[in-house]
Order: sequence, then C-alpha cells, then structure tokens
Amino acid sequence: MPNVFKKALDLLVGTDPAINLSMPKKLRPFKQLSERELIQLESEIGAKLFGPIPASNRREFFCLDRSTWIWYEEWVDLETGKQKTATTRYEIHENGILKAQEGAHYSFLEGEELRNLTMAIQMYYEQVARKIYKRDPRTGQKLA
Amino acid sequence: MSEQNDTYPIPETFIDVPRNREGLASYGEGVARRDVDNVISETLPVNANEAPTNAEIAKWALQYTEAVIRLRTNEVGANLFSDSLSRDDYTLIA
Repeated sequence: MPNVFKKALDLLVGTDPAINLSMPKKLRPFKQLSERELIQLESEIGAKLFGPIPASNRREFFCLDRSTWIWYEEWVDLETGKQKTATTRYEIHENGILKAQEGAHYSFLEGEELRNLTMAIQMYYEQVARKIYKRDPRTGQKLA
Repeated sequence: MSEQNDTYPIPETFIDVPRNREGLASYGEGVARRDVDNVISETLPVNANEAPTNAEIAKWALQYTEAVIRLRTNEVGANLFSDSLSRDDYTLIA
C-alpha cells in the first residue's frame, strides 16, 4: 500500500526531492538520493557537532563543494521577538581559510578559530562517513 | 575556553566550538574517544616543535573536505552532474 501511495504521489507531483524527504526513510533506497538530499542529511549531522540546538533555533552546517563550508543559523531575538538569520561561508584557499559573512565581511581565520574549524571539518567527515555512507573514515572500506 | 552563553546562541566564530568538548570528542560507535586538543597535532604532518602554519592547516582541512566530496560523489554517481550545486545555491538548502 505505501508503494502505491508513493507512485500516486509521484504521478501527481513529480519526484521533487523535498517530497521524497518527507517520505519514510525505508521507502527511499539510499542509492536514489541526490546530491542535494545527501547534503541535507550531512547537515543534520553537521548541525549537531556543536552541541544541543535550542528549540527555537535552526542550524545547518555542511560542506557545499570542494572548497566551501556553510554555517547557517536561525534564531529568535529575545529582546525583539523577531526571527534572525546568519549565514557564514568558509572558503578554503591555499594560503588559509577565508570567512565571509553577510555585509561583505571577509577575514582569514587565525589561531584557535582556524584550528577549531578544521577540527569540526574532521569531525564532520568522520561522522558522515560512518553514519551516512557507512564507511570506515580511516580506510574507506564499507562497514559491515 | 569560553563558557556556554545561553543568551547568545550564535557561534559568531569557531572560537566557541570547544565549549562542547564532549560532543566534539565523540566519534561515534566503536571509535575511541580522543583528546580534542590533540586532534590536529596527531594528524598534521609537521614538525612537533613548530606550530602549523595557516596554509598547512588549510591544506589539512582541504584533504578532509575532498574526502567528504568523494564519499558523496561515489553515492550519487552519474546523477551528481545533473543535480550539482553551485555556491549560489546554498541559500536554497539553508
């Protein structure tokens, strides 16, 4: 019955990834996930690398491409009650990692901040390798 | 190390990351917990007596970034090129 429902849904609305994400995971064979869906799964792990997220917040942290990482956060300003957002882009260059924030703020990371970002990148790799791709992060071999 | 500041939830920079040392030190099931402070010194191939340069740390971060992309590419396969993202697309995901 669930397969019939999914087929009907596909016929009605197409195979929009957002629709697929709302389906129970067991109905989505892993191999059919798109790059966008994989990034969303990775971001669920990335967001949790830095501890609990308050209920009123939304956080995304993910690897966008071969040289870019994204931090996105939504929260409610306690004073005004308004929702705020912040997006930070980290670009990896040969001479360092550039942080780009809204409002055209650019700066190369230094010291502890630089070390902590690279540590988070390693954590991200190790956790997505195990939890999403089911591979040993050290050897690349499939986990049993 | 900085303390958790509940009134300002946004980590403005990654300076605040180590405040959650337990979370960062957890590598998942079956993997030994390591001292977060030693992670970089363990894995960066540099002289132990010298602090790594920013360029060396960036190169190290790039290696892990490329490893993530390889994992993703292997799973997506041919579909990667029909569904690839550009830097401008990230707001759609976020």
